[in-house]
Amino acid sequence: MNTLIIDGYHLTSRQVMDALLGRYDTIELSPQAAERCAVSRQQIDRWLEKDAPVVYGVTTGLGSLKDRALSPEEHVSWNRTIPYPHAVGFEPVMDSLFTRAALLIRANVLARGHSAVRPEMIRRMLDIFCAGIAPVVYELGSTGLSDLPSLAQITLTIVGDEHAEAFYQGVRRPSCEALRMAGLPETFVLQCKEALAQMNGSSATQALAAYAVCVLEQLLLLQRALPDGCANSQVFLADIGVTLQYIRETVDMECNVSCDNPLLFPTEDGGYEAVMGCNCSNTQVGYCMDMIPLLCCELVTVLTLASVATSVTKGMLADLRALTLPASADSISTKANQEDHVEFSYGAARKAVTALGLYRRALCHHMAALPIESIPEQGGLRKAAQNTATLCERADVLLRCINDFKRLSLDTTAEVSSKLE
Amino acid sequence: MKLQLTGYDLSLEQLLDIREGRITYCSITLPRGGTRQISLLSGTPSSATEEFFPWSVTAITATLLANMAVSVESDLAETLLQLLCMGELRPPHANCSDEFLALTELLGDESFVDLLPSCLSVALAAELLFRGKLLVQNADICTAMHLEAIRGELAAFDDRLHSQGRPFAGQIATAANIRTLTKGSQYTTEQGRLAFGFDTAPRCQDAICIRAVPQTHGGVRDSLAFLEQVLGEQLNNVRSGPNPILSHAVEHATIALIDLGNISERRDFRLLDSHLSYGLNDNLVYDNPGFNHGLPVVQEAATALLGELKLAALPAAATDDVSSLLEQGSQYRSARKAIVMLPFLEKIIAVEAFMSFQAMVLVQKALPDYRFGDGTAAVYATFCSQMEAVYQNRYLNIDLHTALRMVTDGDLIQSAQLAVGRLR
Repeated sequence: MNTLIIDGYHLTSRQVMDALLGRYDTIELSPQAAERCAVSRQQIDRWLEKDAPVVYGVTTGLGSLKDRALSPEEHVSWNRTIPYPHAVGFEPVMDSLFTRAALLIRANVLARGHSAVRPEMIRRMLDIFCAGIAPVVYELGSTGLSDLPSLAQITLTIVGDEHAEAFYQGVRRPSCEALRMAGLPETFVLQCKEALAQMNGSSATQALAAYAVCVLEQLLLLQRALPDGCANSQVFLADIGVTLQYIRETVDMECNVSCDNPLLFPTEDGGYEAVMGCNCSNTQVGYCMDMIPLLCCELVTVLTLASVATSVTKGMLADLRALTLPASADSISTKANQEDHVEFSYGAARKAVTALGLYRRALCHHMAALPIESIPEQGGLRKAAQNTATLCERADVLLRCINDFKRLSLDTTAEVSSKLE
Repeated sequence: MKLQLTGYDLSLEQLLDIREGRITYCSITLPRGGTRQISLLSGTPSSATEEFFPWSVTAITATLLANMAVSVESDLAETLLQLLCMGELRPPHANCSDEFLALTELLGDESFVDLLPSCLSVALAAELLFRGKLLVQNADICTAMHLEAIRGELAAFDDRLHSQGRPFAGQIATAANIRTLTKGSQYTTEQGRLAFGFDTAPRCQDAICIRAVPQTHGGVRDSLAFLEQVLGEQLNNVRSGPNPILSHAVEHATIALIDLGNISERRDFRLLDSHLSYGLNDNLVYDNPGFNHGLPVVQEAATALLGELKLAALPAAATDDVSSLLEQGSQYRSARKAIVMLPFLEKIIAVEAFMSFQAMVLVQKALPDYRFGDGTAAVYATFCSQMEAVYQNRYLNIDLHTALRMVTDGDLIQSAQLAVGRLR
């Protein structure tokens, strides 16, 4: 029985990808994490009993309304409605891979206990994940200084709101219907603080980042299996591996940080204290995501010298160069200047995924022009290439193989890391 | 102090000692026996101009090259060191070829020509590392000064949020600095906020450009740590040809340092608006607003600098042609771009320091019996010893340049450290 234990401290990008590929029989909240969450949750209950201190996101409203304390009665309806003005966005609809990854990563960070949500809520999220329900999320509109829009849309699916949609068994449908078909309760009521705990933080960016790192690792391994592009290609491939390792360490770390506000910490007298910060800021990840198009650019440059399909590869290279302009180097103020440093980590992650698409395509065109025996066997690539007539057809077939994430995935973590050294 | 070059144990600490003038000559053991001592060029830290790199880059390049020569027991080590220490290095054109042909002729030997641009790239990256680290510390200090002026909420710097909530190393360090600098402050308290009179309810939290400082400055620190790691591995092993990892580390640090400029400029912006500064006079005018203009154009200077600084974000590799990237690598252009970019950032931080001083003057005027924190008080005193506050319309540029010197020469850091001990 292959189980993934969610405890808030050990989730890696590779585990997220493996979970998406259905490699775990079960995914469970660890008993210790459940206990931690139950105990910190009790503090919220105690605050609601009597005169609560003004604690942002616990007893107050948001943003410029942060100075207004809500009554305990208003909390329940506030949690139901506060996702609405946040759940905005434009097409395209995000790939299911990412919305499910965001759900899993969010469940993990909440399991740390500092967010003081109920264990039942975390289990609700894991149930939805394990059922294969993928919330519909409009991709455009998040800055990454919190993926509030994306995560609010996911929240609506978690609670079974009438406006929420999800993909289930390949069909886009109302989330209620998906939940019902999956045998899960159609609705789930969020209690005090739980709406913000769902929405605040950058789990959508993180989903893109985890994917980007894992895919680039695999594509790099694939490129290493190809004949040398140029005299210095080994230097590039090795160094890119080292930089990618640094990026992965940062992304893996971010899979296990508390990112909502406030965070609760135990005090000496057995209670908890809420501390406000900027926990949603994932600056470190944004800077790293901005490196990925640069690495793709270098990888395609190495290919270009050896490539027969030069016009295609050079076209990819030109587009990749344009993508290397970092999103993090710019910042625009939002929320009436209350959120006045916004470095677009979400945009950086989206750009990284776009760059990977170009790199993938260039790799396929390059492989398509190679002699058959030089095409790697892994993922059934060589076999697929054998039955094709034209270069174009071959490139398409290879691309389909690589896009099928399942097939390209290597088997064990150990195999991947030893090849990266 | 003297540096013995062995070819295998040169460290970043020693390079920093050269830069800060603690090491003034190198000693080399000659292949045929005997030793030789050569004085390194010295000078005060200065920004790069169009023609020359900072003297420290020349000195470090010479040291790296001589170290490599020593490691292969070459006769050239002594000559190399002497030649390079004679004068400053001109920034070569993209491929470094023209300038270094001249060196080959002088040496009568081609063996080290390839290594010269490589050592230069490493030296430029080391300069970026040293100055970058100082800039983060200066930015931490400016943030602490800002907090005093706006009577900010210190909860965002609580150690638990960082070491338990989001334990990125750089983030933990910046939060620690802010706490250390503001320790004992009466302004950054609920009492201070109420006494000033603008806040009528608890502050809860300040704007992002203040409360996300551990995360953003921390991210800059983490990127510099990656650069430090990469450099440390290359000092005694400088590669010729493409050096992609150095290029990556330098570009990554460049992106982060630009962001340091982004967040600093926003703090300046807030100081000019009475609503955003929680009640300081608009434009930080001391008295007689309307007649006296205050500091909006000073703030704009930072904005203008930032507008240009951002343009350095485009990685050098993006504009390299294929053969150039693969045969020589983009590390030299990455590093040179970073060194050209740095003075813009230093000036942005200087503007913030200058404005934050004025803001502290105003908050002290309102609450004269309150005290600043241990570190911020020391920095404030240093400013007071160098310039007056801006009481009325007066010529500002001399004081603005003094603030710049206090940033780049490390005076602000030093005055803080004298009061509160070593900053992270």
